[in-house]
Amino acid sequence: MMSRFLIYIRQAMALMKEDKLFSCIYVAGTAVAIASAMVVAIILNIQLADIYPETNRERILHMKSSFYKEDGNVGRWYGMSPKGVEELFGNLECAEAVSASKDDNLIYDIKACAELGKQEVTIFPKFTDDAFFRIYSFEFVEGKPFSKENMEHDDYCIVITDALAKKMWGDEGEAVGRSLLLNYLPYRVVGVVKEASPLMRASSADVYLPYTVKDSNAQYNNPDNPYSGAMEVRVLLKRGCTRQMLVDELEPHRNRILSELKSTTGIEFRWDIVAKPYWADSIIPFFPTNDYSTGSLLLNLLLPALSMLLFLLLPAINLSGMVSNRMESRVAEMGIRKAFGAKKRVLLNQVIQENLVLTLVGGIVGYALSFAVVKAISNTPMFLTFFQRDNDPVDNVSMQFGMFFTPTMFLIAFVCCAVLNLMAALIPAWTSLKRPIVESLNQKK
Amino acid sequence: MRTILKNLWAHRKQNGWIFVEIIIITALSWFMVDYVVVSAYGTYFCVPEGDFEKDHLCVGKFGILRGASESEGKVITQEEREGLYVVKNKLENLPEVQSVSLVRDYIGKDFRTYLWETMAPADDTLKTIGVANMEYYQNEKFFETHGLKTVEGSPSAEELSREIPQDGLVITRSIAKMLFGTDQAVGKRVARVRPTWTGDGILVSGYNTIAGVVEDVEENPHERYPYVAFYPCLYSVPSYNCNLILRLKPSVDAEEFVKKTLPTLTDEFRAGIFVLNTLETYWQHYDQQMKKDNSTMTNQLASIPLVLFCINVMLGTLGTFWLQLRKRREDIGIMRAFGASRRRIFAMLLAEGTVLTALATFVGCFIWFQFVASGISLSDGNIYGSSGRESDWITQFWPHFLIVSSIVYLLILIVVGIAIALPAWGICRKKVVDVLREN
Amino acid sequence: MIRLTGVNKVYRTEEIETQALENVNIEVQRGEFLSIMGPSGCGKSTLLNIMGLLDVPTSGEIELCGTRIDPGLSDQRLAEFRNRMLGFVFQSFHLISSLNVLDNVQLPLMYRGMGYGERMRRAKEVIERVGLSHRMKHTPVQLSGGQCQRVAIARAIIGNPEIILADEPTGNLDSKMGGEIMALLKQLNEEDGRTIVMVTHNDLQAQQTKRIIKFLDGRQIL
Repeated sequence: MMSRFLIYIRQAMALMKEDKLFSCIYVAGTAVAIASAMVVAIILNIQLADIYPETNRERILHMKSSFYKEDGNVGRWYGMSPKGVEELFGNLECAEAVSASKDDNLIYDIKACAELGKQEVTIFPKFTDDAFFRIYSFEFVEGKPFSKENMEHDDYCIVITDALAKKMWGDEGEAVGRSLLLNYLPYRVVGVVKEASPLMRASSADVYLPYTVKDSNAQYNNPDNPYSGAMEVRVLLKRGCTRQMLVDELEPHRNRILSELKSTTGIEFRWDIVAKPYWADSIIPFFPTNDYSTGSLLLNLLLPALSMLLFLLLPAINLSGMVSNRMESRVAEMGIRKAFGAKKRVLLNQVIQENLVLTLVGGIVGYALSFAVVKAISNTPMFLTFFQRDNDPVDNVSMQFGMFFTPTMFLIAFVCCAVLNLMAALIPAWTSLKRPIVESLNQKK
Repeated sequence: MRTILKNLWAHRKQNGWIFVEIIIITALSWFMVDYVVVSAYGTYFCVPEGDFEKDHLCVGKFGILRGASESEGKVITQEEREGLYVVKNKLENLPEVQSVSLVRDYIGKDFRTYLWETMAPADDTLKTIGVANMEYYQNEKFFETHGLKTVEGSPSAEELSREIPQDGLVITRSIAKMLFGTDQAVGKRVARVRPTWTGDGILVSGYNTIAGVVEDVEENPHERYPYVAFYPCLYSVPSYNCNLILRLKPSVDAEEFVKKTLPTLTDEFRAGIFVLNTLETYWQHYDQQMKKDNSTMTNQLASIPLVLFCINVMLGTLGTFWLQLRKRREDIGIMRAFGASRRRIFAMLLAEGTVLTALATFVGCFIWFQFVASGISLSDGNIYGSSGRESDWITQFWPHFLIVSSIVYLLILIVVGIAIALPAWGICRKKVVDVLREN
Repeated sequence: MIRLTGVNKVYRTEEIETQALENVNIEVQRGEFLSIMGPSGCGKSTLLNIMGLLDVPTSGEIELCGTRIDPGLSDQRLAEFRNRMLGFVFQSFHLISSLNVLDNVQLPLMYRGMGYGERMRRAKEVIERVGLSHRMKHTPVQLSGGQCQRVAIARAIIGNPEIILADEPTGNLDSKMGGEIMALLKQLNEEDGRTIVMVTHNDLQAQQTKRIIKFLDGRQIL
């Protein structure tokens, strides 16, 4: 098997050398096709795979709360107050960690500078709590996260990224212990983490602040309802626990709080709590739904998958045209082979396998190209839209190896090559092999 | 023509693939080209006449300095607000500066989020028009600093900046024309309206009297129609989140000025709790806004597949024609032996590409036409301000469809042309004897 | 009619230099039927190509129909010359396989910018003359070798050129068909008074022409 494959490779190499032009254009066409399909795949990979610091994505749930009054008025209050978070998520069996942070939509730009009069940069903050660093596995370069005590004392302490530390103080010594002005208010740096790529929307920020600090507006409260506020909740499930288990566990707490609300305020509220798997917030929902099963994920992946197929199909038409042109000039050769007893299927295999070598070369070039393309466009707002970061002050998108090169991605690239190859070679090869032997032999040249 | 068709037909097996590909790509890229073309037209070709002068305009933004202990929950006091005016005076006293105005908003402050509303003449509330609106502080030399010019028959910019009646508003010439058919609209009344929830009627939320009419400006360069309304700010004064615009004297270079001022900006222009923390030229601001604008983004989003499609067509045509011409070498040698010049052969091959593209694009556009006929609408370029009564090529179906179709054709033609020219040139360069001998 | 003075042709590749023609001086009179003979590789086809303006000599002068051919002449002018003064007949016919007989024959007229109707009328005339009027709509693949060569001759004479250059016109044909083609060429020479230069290595056929030039290793020996 191996040796036969080697023979084909040798033959294909010989063909490539013999017809350099054809090979070049064929490889270029394949590379463009694979590159465009792989760009889609890379985007999906970043949205869905476990990448620093979101290495537990499978177990992370985003809890969305919305209150509305039962009086027919359409107004809604999204988010919860810290009190609501505490009472609803305080003691859960199946949660390993529960973290509340301010709704990303309510976050505004903040200007940071080392001291007044020094260079100012616009940064993206995240107002969160100590549990945040247990849900996402951040790597601390210096110091440690802020603690529960810090939060209770309303301390002005922050965790910043190594990139920001470098921007603010260069390489001069430790950042921990220094103070940083955010909107001209001094904050003490307690920890420095390795920067999370801005494409990791749920976890990335330049500065992590306790939501208790006064600048955050996190204590925005609904005068009618002490449980609604500006916080969003993320839950890290214990291993072995499912989303349904969490939903079931929350139900009695929810009912208790609702009845309490009714007795204290006299208002009948409705309260929806939706436990969204991490992907529901990271991929673009082409078919918005409240069904968060795996089937729904696949349904939402349908459109990207179709676009990948399209990116493969169009070049496949090209390549088909070229293969058909080439088969035309090899008709006599095929005729001779047939005259000496080669079966149609064997010849078909030969053609396809010869092309496969070219396709694989093109595939490797295309894969590399997709990496280059993503790198090149990563800072454009257009690319950032896919990660819902186009509105934020992101000036440099750092990327990691795991976003591009994983076994799954290699497999996808290979499947793309195979599909492309089949689409490109099958039809022209088949039609030209169907010709009767005599006609093939008589063909001039 | 006959020869071209015959040649195409003779190589139908190979050309067929390109043909099919161009059809598919035409049908797929039509709406993207549509969007890009309409929005490019709106951005670069619909620059309003009488637009304000931007070369000597700078914009800035204030930040607030307050210690942690004194910060939270406190309103900014009258005394603290004085800081704003101290900074403003300091700027105004610079020799390069002509005038400074504290503003809430200015034209093009934020391309992504700007307010808009629906307006109609007070006596005909169904004749609506969507306009961008902004509020300005009175007695702040807003209009003259901004560079907004008034039309004849309207109070001057200086007068409008000072004080206008409480229910007054200032509109652009085009709004006046759309609502009243004339730019002499001062004193006329308009209603601010919104559709009812059920969508079957119109609610009036207030009436205003037109106090002035200014020359056309666009809130966002992507907007095709210059509809902007200016309201005096009645209930607030310059305070938190304050911006400023600054007009330099005509002899001063704005970029130089900003470069000179920026290093010491936060140290020099700080008073009380206020600090001027950004200062940039209008064009710098404009470019940045343009970069993160929604339309720019959508344009890029639409352009990437377009570029990909073009590369595909290019490679496909290149490969197919190269291989095809290799086989037609003999034919071309014969033609040249019998008196066809290089140029003639080259032209013949390009003509084949042109005809092939024309046929395929026609079919592709026809397919897209079927989609349009079944209810997909043509692009309007993602604009907000419009009345639905404008009449230009974009709003009329046939001109729109034909113009965009021909642009699609041209685009593909260029790509196919390049892809054919390369191998065609290669084969024309060869000597006739060599070509004939090879066979 | 044709005058070659001191024509040299040298082919250079990286390794070797081949002298294909060496100081060739030939003059062909109007109405002559000249055959060029010699073993293969002696340079006779090169000579014909140079006469036909398909190739340029390394040095020497060419005069066609009283016009000196400047080596720097533009492609446009050369194409025009070929079109109006010269007709080619090749050993391997060189018909365009995707076009039918009629279209193949009218090709030279097309490059004169002649109208379609006139082209077709004349093409039918010459096809009749070579005796193929019943095959006008056939493609070259459907014709025998002799028929193909007749089509090629029809194509060569349709533009009324002064000179016909034939490169082993019977080389790919059996002797019967070859005879027919020779008869046709002779008829063209005698009846129409066309000047014909033919390359051949068939002695018998060469005997039928008015003058014979022999070549060996790029030199004229007779």
